[in-house]
Amino acid sequence: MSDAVRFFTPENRLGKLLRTPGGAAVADAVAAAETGLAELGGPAREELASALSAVEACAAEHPAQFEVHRLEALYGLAQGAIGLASLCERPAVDEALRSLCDLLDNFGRAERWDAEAVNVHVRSLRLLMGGSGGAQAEAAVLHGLRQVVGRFAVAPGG
Amino acid sequence: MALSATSRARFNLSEARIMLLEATPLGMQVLVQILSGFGAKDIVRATNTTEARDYLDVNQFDLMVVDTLGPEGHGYDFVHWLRRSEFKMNRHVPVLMTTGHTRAADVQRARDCGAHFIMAKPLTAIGVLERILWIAREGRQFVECDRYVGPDRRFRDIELPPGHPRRRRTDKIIQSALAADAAGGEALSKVAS
Repeated sequence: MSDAVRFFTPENRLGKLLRTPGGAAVADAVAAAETGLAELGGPAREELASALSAVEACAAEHPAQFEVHRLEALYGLAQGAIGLASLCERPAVDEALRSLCDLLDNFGRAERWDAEAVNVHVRSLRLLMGGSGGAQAEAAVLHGLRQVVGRFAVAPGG
Repeated sequence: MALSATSRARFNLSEARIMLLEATPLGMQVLVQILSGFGAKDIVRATNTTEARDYLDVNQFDLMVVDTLGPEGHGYDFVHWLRRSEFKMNRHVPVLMTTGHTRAADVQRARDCGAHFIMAKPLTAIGVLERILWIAREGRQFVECDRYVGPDRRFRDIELPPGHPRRRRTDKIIQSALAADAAGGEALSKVAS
């Protein structure tokens, strides 16, 4: 490649295929896909329970001071579990996992660690997984987590 | 880009060859259930980038759904490599990326890897369909230069403020930003009319 910028329009095979006769109506396709996703609720719940246990264990093993490898492991566990909770009708758990990832990302950038901030996330994950608090209580928990993350915010580029 | 989940408009994915690159079994099942529900029949599954590269050698794909593949983000590297690879029949394939969480340090990497769209998990059926129809719209240009190979990221042709000259030769003058919004909303009718 050179310094030159080249613009071109590749063949749009996908667009042509989508327009071919037959296929499915959007409503029917979405309904079929959602039926298939509903079948994954049970396995997702099992995998999520296992993932949350792993998150708890990994968080508990982190030393008192920042340790990059342990932090990375915890981030990987939390990130990998995002998406499971919505399959088993616990979307607030996905939100809490995302909040934990934001927190750990901030810690990684600032090379710091705060066990209590992580532990409040871990406890919230269990609480939200139980699902007995109602929408208002879940919203309050998630708001609290956002405030915790906000306390450790790192300026852009920091 | 809103697409009604009750729309009777039709689209056809039955002949499309699709590669999924997703490391986790349940994540793979999510993608398969969604795309099978959409009528896709020819779905190739890769669980790591080595497998995915092997498939590129012998298949011409019409769509790829690529996960970022954990904290290391090997999925970004795969798409970045694909756009510069010698696999000409797949080099410009539409790529929809999925991610659980994007670190601040990876935002630029995500922007520059050459994917058509990056979707945050959890995935929904209507969300995935919207993105597929959007990236299949006609006329999206590719850009090749030293620092970037991939679809033109300037997909909203918003007119410049009065008195401002065009900055790029390819900037389009359109009547109103509303036209760009309307174009987005009509993705389905353009793609699947």
